[in-house]
Amino acid sequence: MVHRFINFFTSLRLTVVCLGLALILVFVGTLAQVQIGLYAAQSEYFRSFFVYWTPKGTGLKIPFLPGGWLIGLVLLVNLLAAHIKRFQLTKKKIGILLIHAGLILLLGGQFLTEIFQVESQMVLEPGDVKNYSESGRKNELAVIDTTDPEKDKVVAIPESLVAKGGEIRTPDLPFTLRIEKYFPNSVPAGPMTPGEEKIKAANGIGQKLAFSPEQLTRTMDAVDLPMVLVQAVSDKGPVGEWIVSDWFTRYPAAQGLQSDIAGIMPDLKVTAPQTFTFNGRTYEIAMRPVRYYNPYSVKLLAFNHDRYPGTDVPKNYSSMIHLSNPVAGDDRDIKIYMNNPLRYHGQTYYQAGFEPGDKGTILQVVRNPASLTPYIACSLVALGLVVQFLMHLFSFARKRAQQTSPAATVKKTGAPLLEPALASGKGRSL
Amino acid sequence: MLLAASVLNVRAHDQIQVYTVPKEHPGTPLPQAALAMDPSGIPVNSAPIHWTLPEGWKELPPDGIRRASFDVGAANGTKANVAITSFPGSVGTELGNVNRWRGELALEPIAESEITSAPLTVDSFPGKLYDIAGASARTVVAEISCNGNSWFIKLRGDTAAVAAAKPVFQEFLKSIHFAAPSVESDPHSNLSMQPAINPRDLSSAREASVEGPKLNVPAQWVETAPTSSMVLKSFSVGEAKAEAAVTISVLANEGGGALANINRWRGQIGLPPVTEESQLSGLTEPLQTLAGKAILTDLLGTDARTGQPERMIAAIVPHEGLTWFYKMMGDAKVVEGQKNTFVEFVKTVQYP
Repeated sequence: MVHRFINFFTSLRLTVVCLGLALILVFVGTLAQVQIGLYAAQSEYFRSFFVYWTPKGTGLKIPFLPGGWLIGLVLLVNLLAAHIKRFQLTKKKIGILLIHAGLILLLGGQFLTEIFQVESQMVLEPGDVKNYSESGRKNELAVIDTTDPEKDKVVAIPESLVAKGGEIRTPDLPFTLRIEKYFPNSVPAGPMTPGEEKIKAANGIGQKLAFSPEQLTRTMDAVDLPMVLVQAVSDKGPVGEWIVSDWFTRYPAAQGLQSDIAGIMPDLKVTAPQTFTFNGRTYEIAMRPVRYYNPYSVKLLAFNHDRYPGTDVPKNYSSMIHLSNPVAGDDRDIKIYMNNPLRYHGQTYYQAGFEPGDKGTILQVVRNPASLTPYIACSLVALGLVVQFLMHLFSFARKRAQQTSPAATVKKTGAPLLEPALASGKGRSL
Repeated sequence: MLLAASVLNVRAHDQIQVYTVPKEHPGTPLPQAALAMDPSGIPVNSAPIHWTLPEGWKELPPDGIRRASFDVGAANGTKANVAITSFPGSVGTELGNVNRWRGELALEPIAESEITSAPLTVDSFPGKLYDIAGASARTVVAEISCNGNSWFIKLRGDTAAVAAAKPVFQEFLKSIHFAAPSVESDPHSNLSMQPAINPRDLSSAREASVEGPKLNVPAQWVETAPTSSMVLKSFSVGEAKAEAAVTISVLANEGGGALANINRWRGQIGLPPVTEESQLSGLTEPLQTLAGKAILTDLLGTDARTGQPERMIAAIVPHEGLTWFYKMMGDAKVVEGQKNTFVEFVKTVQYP
């Protein structure tokens, strides 16, 4: 049994089957992008263990194809197992061993990156100080107790829980949140906007601004802006009902919406927090990009967008920031520019974009615990190749030296170098 | 191990997180000097406004949303300062702004017709200068529209201090220019980068950020609170049992087009939709307004709730990339009686 198990995981057939399935997955996943968009296709087909099929009208999830993670994992196991089975610690194989170790590390590192890498962004205008970055796609329903003058207590509910609807109860909130309506993507609705369903709320911004559902986005450069109609209910009755949406919190949608409605409803500030009081405590409620807090703060001193003189051709983008970490004692100015990111505290800050009109900078913040693995893996492969090459070279040179007698070498006289057999006269019989 | 780690990681993302964070403090703009030069000595061009600081004025530390503020150095224990703020697009209405400034001086709000201002040009951009005097304090505000932004440069303080500082303030305004300085910087290699993209194309709707039109509201119309978002104004006419409602709204570009809107209106009073654009000519009549050519439609249907005849007269007025919708709907007799008034009202609306 064990033998069969080992044979299965070390077989070349498994490698071929995995590669075949990977081909099918890439084909099917590429086609799926037409229907569900690039980002969703990546999540469902490639960043998953299984690809599921849901028959219409049912809530069933039937796996019909291994996902990218599963195929990659099996390939990795296959490679490792085959390697262990045929492992021979000999001097001659050291180069091959190094090359394979590099490949295994590359696969494993990429897998860890897929799972643990967190990408977010930090939008800063000159003078802004932030100790958090925001997810480009993930959202959360945040209920913040702002009563304390020094600090806020945040209860962050992931969008995946909100999407399930129903009631959300947590001992950290003195009331229950009732999800009355959830649109995974939404659009502010005016009186002339076509569409049947327009949602308004009893309190806050939603009293004046209605929302309609919108199709999910299909491209990588667009994000879904969810809307939630949420009611807070205590044991004494309803506390309030609000529309919360990324339309009020996510850059640049919120700024765009605020600008759009300024002429129509000048008193409505969609970017202002929606607050309420309950049992003497003040709360804010918002649907917002997931926040990743840091134990340090970043302040934008200046954003610089240079152009070649007399043209609009970009020459350089750079952000001058001030980094402040009282715990580590760091307090310094740093310049981040193209191809010169800031690496700090396990995070890398890239100059990623800028606000229209050069009003501010957009830094891409990447946390990847496995970020060093590709470098180490490539170094191992390169070292293995060099070792293997040198071993062959030395071996060849040694053999050559052994086979070459001094008499056969007529280099000094300028005569051509002869094969040893011919030079020694042994080949005459041929 | 990898599998377990990934499962745990996925689980962690699905759970409610509770944490405490220090209070967020809004960003404060840096003093002009800090923006003009980074520590490496390379000039940077983040500041879109530049000025020459008058003698005796002192730049104050950053404060809230102000781009910059100054102490004008008043004498005899009086105080006055200058604040520069800017906002994208147009901010509120002129009346709203003036009454806010009046409120700061403990003055009563005024009507639009009572607003006084002097024309002003700052760095070739047009603007207005308001001078509002209160009991013991005075405010002089220059409002300038520049490249899609509204700039407010406000001198405010004790009456005597503002009076003394006003000539210097006017010189200060002349020294302002909005052009960004040319920049020389280190020649780092670069990749092409795009400005941030709005997830939705709001460019068409952005044009809707305009000030409201000037209306000659008939005396018998009573203004009511808009019942729907994005309705600019609404009025009621008639009595409770027989009344009509007038609404005004605006949308960017064609606002969905005449056919779609007229069909929607037809549906509201129980009429079947028309399918062809060509049928519209029989349902509409041209209307000449101050904004130019418009169309008017007059529909008679039935109120679904009461079964009584219901009439709707609506005008679609395109003007400078926007489409204005005027609609009077209600009791057929009331609408009939108000038709000429409504048409005259639509024709005389003055657009900003």
